[in-house]
Amino acid sequence: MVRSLPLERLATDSEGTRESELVLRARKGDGQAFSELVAPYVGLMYRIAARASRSAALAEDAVQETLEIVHRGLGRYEPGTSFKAFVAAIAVRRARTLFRAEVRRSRRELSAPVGEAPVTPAEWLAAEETANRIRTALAALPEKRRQVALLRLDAGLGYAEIAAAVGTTEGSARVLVHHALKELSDQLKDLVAGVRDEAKTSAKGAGT
Amino acid sequence: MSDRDDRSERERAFSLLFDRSANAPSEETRERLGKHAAALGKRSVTPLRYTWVPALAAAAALAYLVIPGRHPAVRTADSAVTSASRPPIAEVPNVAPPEAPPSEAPEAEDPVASVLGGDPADLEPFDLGPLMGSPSPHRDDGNVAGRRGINDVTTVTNRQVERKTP
Repeated sequence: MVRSLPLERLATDSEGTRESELVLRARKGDGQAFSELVAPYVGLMYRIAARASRSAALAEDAVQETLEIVHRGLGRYEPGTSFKAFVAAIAVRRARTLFRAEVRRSRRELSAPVGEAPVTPAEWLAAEETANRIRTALAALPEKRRQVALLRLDAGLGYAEIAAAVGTTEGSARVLVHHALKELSDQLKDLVAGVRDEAKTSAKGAGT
Repeated sequence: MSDRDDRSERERAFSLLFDRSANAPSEETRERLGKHAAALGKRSVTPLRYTWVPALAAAAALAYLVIPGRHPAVRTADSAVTSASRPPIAEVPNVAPPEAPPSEAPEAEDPVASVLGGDPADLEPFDLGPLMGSPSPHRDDGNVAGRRGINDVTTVTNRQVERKTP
């Protein structure tokens, strides 16, 4: 059972109005409306699920389950609020199970990589190694910090949306994100340093 | 998103790292998930009130049964259920001991006997005789002569008849 999310009224533009209409139609059993409603967020759900699991099949299953939970939870969604935050909150909760299963499975076996294959074998190896290290670091975080990290970095939510999704204040959401990033930095120092160096180099190149 | 712009350098680095290592669903996967969503959407969504109203009713019923002292205990022969809802004696201080039973306990009154053994007038509450002008059969002042006449009738045996006959 998914608890009710006290989402703030964030979506006030035409996109939010369109979503509200789709929600109302989907509640009445309009399959096309529900499909249109969730289509923009399938990639987001898959990204979060794939972050938690190395198996493409498990990630797809998780997205299907997330869709079912979203559909069942439409009755408690408040039209006019951020539907993206609503979906992302369900996806990160579903990812919790995947993280647990992945930790258990990684001790036993190596599995097939998730998603589409990168261009070259070298890129494939690098991406796979990075994804595995991030996955391991996320799995080691406390549950709430892991949730806010996923909501911030994978779902791209703002602090107000994160606060609504995890049921806390915006200030607490900021603190949670700060602590989550600090813990991730401690575990992924070399990766973060490499990305920073690249960013500085590209900035210099753009400046000259 | 407004607060996405004021990211720290560390957060920007992490965003880049997460974006690079993110996985997107293939077109086939998207198609399958889209079909799944369309199939899901055809089911009707249960309104929220249909979820919490039965849950609230169940919780209220449970609370009624569990909380002691809120309702009279149900007395049964084997009071396994009532003993749970009745507070134990040890937990109730300053409770006077029960009075000794009387030496001659009054007999339990049978409700049927109490009804049948009452005043005869109670058995015939709708005797309209006095109202209709005839005396009540249960009172001495009524139709004494009539009842005497009935009582004075004596039976004559066949032998007496034979003696009287010449």
